[in-house]
Amino acid sequence: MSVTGSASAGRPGSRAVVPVSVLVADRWWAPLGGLALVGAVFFTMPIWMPALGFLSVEDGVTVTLYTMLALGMVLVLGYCGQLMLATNALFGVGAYGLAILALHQGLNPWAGMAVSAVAAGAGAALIGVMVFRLTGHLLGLVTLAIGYIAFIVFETSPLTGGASGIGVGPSLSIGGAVFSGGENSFFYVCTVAALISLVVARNLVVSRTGRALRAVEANEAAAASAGVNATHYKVVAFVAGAIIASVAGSLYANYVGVVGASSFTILVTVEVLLMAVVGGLRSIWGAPFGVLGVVVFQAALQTYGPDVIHINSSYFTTIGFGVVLILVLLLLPGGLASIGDGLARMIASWSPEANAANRRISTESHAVALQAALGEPSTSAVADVSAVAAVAPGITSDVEGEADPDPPCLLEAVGVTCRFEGLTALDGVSLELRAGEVVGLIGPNGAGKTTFFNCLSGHVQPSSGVVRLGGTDVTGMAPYRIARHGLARTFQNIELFPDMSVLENVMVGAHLSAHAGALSAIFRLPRHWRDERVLAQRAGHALERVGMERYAARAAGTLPYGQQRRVEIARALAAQPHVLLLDEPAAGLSASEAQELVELVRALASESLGIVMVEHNMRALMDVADRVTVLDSGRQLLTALPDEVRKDETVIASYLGTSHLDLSRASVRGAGARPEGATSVPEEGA
Amino acid sequence: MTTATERPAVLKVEDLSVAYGAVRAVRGVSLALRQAECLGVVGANGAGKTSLLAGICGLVRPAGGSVSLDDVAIGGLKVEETVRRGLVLVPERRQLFASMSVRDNLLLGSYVLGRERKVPQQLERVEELFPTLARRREQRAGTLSGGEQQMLAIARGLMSTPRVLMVDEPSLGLAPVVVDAVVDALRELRRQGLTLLIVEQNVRLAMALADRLLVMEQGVVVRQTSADAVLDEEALVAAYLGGPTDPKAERHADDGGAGSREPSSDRSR
Amino acid sequence: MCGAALVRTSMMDWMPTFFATGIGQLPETLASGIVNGCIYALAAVSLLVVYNVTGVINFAVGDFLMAGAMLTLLFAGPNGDPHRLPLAVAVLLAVVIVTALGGLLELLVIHPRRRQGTIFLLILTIGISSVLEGGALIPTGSLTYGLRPFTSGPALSIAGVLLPRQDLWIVGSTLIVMGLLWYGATRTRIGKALRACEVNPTAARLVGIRVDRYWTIAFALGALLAAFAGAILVPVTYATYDMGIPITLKAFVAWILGGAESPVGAVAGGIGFGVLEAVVLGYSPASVANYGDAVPLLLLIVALVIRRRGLTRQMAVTRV
Repeated sequence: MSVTGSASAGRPGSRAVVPVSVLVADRWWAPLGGLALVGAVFFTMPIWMPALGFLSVEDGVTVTLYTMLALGMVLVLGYCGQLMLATNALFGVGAYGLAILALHQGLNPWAGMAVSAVAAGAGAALIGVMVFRLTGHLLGLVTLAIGYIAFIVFETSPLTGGASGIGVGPSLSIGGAVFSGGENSFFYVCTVAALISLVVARNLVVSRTGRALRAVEANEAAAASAGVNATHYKVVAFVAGAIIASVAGSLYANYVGVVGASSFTILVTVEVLLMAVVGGLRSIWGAPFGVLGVVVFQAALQTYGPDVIHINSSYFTTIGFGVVLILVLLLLPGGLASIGDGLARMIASWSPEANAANRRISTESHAVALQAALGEPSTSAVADVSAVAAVAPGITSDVEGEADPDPPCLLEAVGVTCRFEGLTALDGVSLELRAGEVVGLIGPNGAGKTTFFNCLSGHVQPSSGVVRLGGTDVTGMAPYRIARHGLARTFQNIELFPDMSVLENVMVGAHLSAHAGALSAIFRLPRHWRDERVLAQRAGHALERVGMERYAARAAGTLPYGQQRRVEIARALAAQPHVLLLDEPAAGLSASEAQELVELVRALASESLGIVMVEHNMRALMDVADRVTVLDSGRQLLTALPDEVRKDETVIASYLGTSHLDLSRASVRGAGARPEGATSVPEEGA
Repeated sequence: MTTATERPAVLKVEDLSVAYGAVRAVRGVSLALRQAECLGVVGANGAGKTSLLAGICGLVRPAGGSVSLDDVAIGGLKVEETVRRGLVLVPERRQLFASMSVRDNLLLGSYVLGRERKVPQQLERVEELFPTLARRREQRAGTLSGGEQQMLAIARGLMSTPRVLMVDEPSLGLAPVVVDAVVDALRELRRQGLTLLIVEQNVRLAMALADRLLVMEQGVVVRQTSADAVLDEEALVAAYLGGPTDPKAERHADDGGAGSREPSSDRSR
Repeated sequence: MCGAALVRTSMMDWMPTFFATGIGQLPETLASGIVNGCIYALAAVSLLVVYNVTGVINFAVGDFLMAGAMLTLLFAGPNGDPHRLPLAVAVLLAVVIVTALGGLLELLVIHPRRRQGTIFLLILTIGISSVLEGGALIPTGSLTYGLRPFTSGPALSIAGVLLPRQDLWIVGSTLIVMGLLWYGATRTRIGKALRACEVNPTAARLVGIRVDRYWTIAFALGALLAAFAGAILVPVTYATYDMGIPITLKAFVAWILGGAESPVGAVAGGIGFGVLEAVVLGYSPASVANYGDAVPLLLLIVALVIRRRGLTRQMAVTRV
């Protein structure tokens, strides 16, 4: 079944209120502006650099090549949140690859460059698959060690010419034109390569793949529940960065003529990290400026430093880098890009027609954030009631009559048990969910409700028991694979991707309804555009379902709480699931918002979605649930109709007091024993 | 004792709000706790009980309202500082130093006293109150049974000789027999004149311990009552499991906030 | 030169001098592995203390070690200039200064951003590492320095194994420092509070421990341990401004090898890694041994990737 399909059925002929053309703001020409800016700065380097007096065209080549390296860092660390510190190794693979292939195989330099890039990409994929199971800083240190090992190998191996290095062979040429190291023409080759890399990186980031990357960075668990295979996307980013770094290495080899190990120390990695941080880790367009800034800074320091302090100028660089890295992180964590963003916002505020979706955080969202900060009620919440209500009643009215006498069983959990270090969080919990049914899950604190959800969605592996989704045994599967079997969920503490727009959040939810991969994104193949349209459409419909379509362009993190809840539900709906798990969807909602939620849940169930819902707002839950399952200390007390649950003695005892009788007697005894327990104590709070 | 209301308030909380981001977990709760009094706070999951304690002691910075201890304002101070002023929280799920010995846990409880001579005395007092802990001095806290861990948590809280001890869910995850032991210990502390604020989901237990009860729902106090007043069972069930009555009427009442919801609550006002 | 303009010639100078001489006998090989292992152990414990309290991997640990070594050299004089400070005073002064530096850098650099994620903080410590390296580079240049052993005389023969005197100093003083550390952690109020911050930061706050201050203390203590390792190491190796990063990497490996949880594990990991390194390099053919550090590091990365116990347990707990 399909939410979108049914929604359309419910409201014949209805399409997304917001036209897809507006939702998909990206165009093939969108990167041209940034490209023109960077191109203008880069191509004129042979003019303005010597004019400054302390720079030369050689520094221009450094800028272009390091831009390529920094882009790899931005892709992997900035967009994917993975600290991969093996840049020097990849740079070296490109350089030595070209040299070795030319020397031993007599390969043409272009072919050498291509073969090296493929080798670097394959190596990155291999390393990525092995080490991405490690987390955060561990990954950083392990990959740094890989970089260190690579350096030692470059320095020692006879193949790489050891400490004396290796000659590179013939220069790059196209037709009759030869580009050799000492000439300006070579600089232009490097600049073109850097600009192409920028477009590649930018196209990769603004795509289905890019959204998945950013989602993984922001919140791996939530990304997985939308069906995003985190490891896959981390590897894609790493491989893309590796190929770019390798090409930069090959160009470098051609430029210097003799490749020596001292150009590939792990300090190269540290420098690239510094440049990426200065440019702004989350910004493709920041990278070239970060590199430029660092190179100019370093050259100025080396030229003018000795005039101030009479010490060998090159000695200043290390401490200078350290200080700049620290100061940028402390004072301008967004790097130069955050200045650029500020400028872009200023310009945008002058021209209202500016392309809104190209900016990560629209000005509009700032207004909302401001509103939230000032505590002003957002008028939208009221306005949106009608949107939900418009969908809900139309459908609910004809459910009862048409109800399938024997709807299919969507989700079945049998004897799910979960132990953590000796503690039994769940003890043989079973659940059966049929299409069109809402099952409530309640229980006191620590009853195991969220753990049960995590077992169902794969975020926690049950110790024993079976979970079946539509007849398929999914026990112990990874969350992203369970998502592919038609299960979507929300989280207790809203797990949105805060920096992404509402629409992008929901498009991640629809991730599985398209297939465009990294290559279609990079080359902007027709498939990319087709899939973007499909995803945006699906996301638009899902937003419409929850009445949030008008906020599509806002950064999700800037929305008020109640609306974030809705976006999260929309994200789950965009996956077109058969089974929906809602973890405390009404928490923190006002009474009227909770009522809207109840109506939404009813409407969804009427489209034969199966819903399991953990909720503390009993009124909302009892209102909407067909059956209620009560957990207490990991055990299943009972599953019954809401009214039966409310009257059940064991349930009441589990909530109000376990040793019911004993304690009430104790209470009387205690009261009698203490003088202040006299029944005449006046009521408080009068 | 008829003078309960005349004793000076030790802990005064006025219009306290606690928010996590945009979620308001506690909305304008006021309470006053008098010398040697025991106040119970009950309510279902998510009613805001734990957040209330967190806001009072400074574990979470309150979004609004004031807290004062012995007429000194402590609202907005961090928990490290409120502990020094004598307001101690025994947290939910106990939060022991699991890999450290029982004795070290207790000694860390008196961290704010520094090297004062009071420490050994207090240790002795506490071990007298909880003889099991004295027997298990060198055992790792994480290897104690649930009930012993709860006692250790309370004992650790006592080590800094607090003015007010706040206990969050002392019965959580404990077997009934063990709960009785914990209740006995808390009752003994009460008898010794300690001022207590106890949050408990288990209403019967709270009734057995406290002089007064506050019932919380959705972040607000919906009722205040003497513990000895027989609580209307049906109303309590409604507070915990949702009312069986016409849902529409209740929703309106919900918006109206505390107090004016059900006939039974009028009685207690 | 293009890239090279940005790249300092650096790592080339750093040689695993511990193994500069050929090693023939197994007992000597093991002994020298244990000696190096002591240095790794101290650095690994330094990493562990900082990580357990703050959750930050201190990338600058090797550079604090370098700073300890350099300052000891500065105060004691290269190869025993008679006009310089007595050795004990030099070591003490070096350790005290580096300790203070560790605390100060935490306050200035880490503290303002301590609520940020671990990767952010790791990058900050990379900045600290560069500052320390650069700070050492300016006065020392890229020269190498050495110091006389703490006590002079020929190597001692114990049970037929020849042991240089400084090796005994290293092993002995490491044992003493570890003993003091153990005493401090289990018997003193500050030590217990520090452990409380590791075990349960929330509970630590609830008993009134100002956890933020203990971040500073942890960094200072970490710097102290590293500086001490540097001071006792400098007579057996040459100190250079860029000796830090390889030591950081090895300390990290030792820390992981020891399970990344307890100081005992870190010490065992450090000594284990030292011995592994000595044996691998001592008994490999020259064509392999030439790769020096790369060999044991590679072995351990492979081992780590295949079997990542100890780490996954504490780090894989998702916040779902």
